[in-house]
Amino acid sequence: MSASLAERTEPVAIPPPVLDNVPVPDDVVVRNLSIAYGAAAPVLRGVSFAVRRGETVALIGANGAGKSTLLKACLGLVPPGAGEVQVLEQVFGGRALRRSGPREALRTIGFVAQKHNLVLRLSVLSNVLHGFLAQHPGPRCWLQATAPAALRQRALQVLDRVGLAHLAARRADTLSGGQQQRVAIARALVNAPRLIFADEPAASLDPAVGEEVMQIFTRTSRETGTTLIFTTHHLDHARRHAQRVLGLKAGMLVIDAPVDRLQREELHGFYD
Amino acid sequence: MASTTEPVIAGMPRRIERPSALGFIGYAVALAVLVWAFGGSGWSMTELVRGIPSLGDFLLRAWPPRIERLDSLFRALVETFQMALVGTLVGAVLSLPLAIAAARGLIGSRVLAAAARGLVAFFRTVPDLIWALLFVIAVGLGPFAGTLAIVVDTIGFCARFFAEALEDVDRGPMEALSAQGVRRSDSIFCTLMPAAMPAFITTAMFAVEKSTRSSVILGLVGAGGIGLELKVAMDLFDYPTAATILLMIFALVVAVEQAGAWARRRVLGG
Repeated sequence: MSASLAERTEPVAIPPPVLDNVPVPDDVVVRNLSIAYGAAAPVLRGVSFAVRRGETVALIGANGAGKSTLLKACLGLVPPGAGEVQVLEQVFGGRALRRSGPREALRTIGFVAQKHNLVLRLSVLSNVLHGFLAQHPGPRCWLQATAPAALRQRALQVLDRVGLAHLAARRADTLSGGQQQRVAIARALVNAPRLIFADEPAASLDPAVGEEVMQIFTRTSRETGTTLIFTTHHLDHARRHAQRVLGLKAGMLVIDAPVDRLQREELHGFYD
Repeated sequence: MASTTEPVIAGMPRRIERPSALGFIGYAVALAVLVWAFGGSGWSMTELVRGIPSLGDFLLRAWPPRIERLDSLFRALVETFQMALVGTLVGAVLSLPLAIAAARGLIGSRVLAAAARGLVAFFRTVPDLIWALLFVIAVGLGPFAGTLAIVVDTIGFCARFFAEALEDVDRGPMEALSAQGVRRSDSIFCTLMPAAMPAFITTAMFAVEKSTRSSVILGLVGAGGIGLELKVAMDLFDYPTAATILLMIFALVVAVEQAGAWARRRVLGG
């Protein structure tokens, strides 16, 4: 596969995996998923895969390959055109999203985007407390000053896990880019999610800080058994931090293999 | 050595683009409307020059300002400021839900958003003096009618700018929370509101300045404040008292503007 992949001009989808009778529960099951925006060519074409509980998966692909759309579909933000997405036993299918269904599932999901997306004028602790809002809606978690003591304590513990407890009172806009991304990770982790999606979490960071951020993710996944799916352009991150790699090319899944079975050339040739 | 004869590149844009036929007609119509408006407004430099001596006469008769009633005038001035402050505060607070409803892309219902924008536009379109007249009918003469007029006027001013501020704020943090299943109302209040807060505060500061100037005028229709004192002084040709009132109004407006400018610098700087 490694030599031929780089030479191909047209991507060829791999056969869909057998999704039934899997011994470990699947946190994410994508069945024959196709998505198109309007009349444009489909962004995703017949994508199928399953991610088992506790697995760490890297999703790779060139710009426009459909990585972000796939992630959005898994988060219920984009409705599937065809096929279905099942996340934590919640099915996101059909053309219309059911409002109540996805939200229930999303409450046990953590999401970290490429940009930290913090509220810069608020304190680090307030930003982390916002992660509780899915399970504790209402004004008490809008600001750290009004949050319940138990939630403040848990938020501080998670900040300590990402090494930022000492900066809890600081405004988010006074932190470095790497620290801001770690706060975003703390916000995603504070709810003790069963599943974390991270969309190029290290893309805007320098190599050392990016590596640090990826280590936080993988350590958390390992220690808590959380399923982790991250997109990346850093093949080294995929090799070092993922157990399995999914490769998208022109909207089709062309790689689905454990990282230790993939050759270095196969990964690097993927972008050619 | 480079050649001195540089090649001439085709496609240099004109210094001034020639308007299309439709554009030319548009300019001509705009000019005609301006000429028509000047004619209808009674604009006359002759009348203006002829009026200057009358203005000088007023100033001569108004000088020196009379300070016998300074105590009661000062109380009226304080009342004017109180009306402006309370009217602006209540108006700004009421503007927030309207701004959220009126901001594009924040709430799902387009009908509600259009209704909110229409209401805000209506509040803004009707002048504060008209609102004061209506509230004098509703609640009687006095500062409460003026305060209510300022509330409505402030909603028309603040809700529009608050909505624009909310539209301009980066939606990334809100979308990040939505992706984790956070309710839209919670995401709006804990991500968009803090980010838009500096714009809210500076807009509210401008509104206080605007309301202070408005509250002076509202007294002319009996809606409280120092405007009523000014009207009485002018009606009785008591120009020295009118001069005192004008100087007090000037001092109040300048003080409020300076305080507003200081507060805006603090907010934007912090």
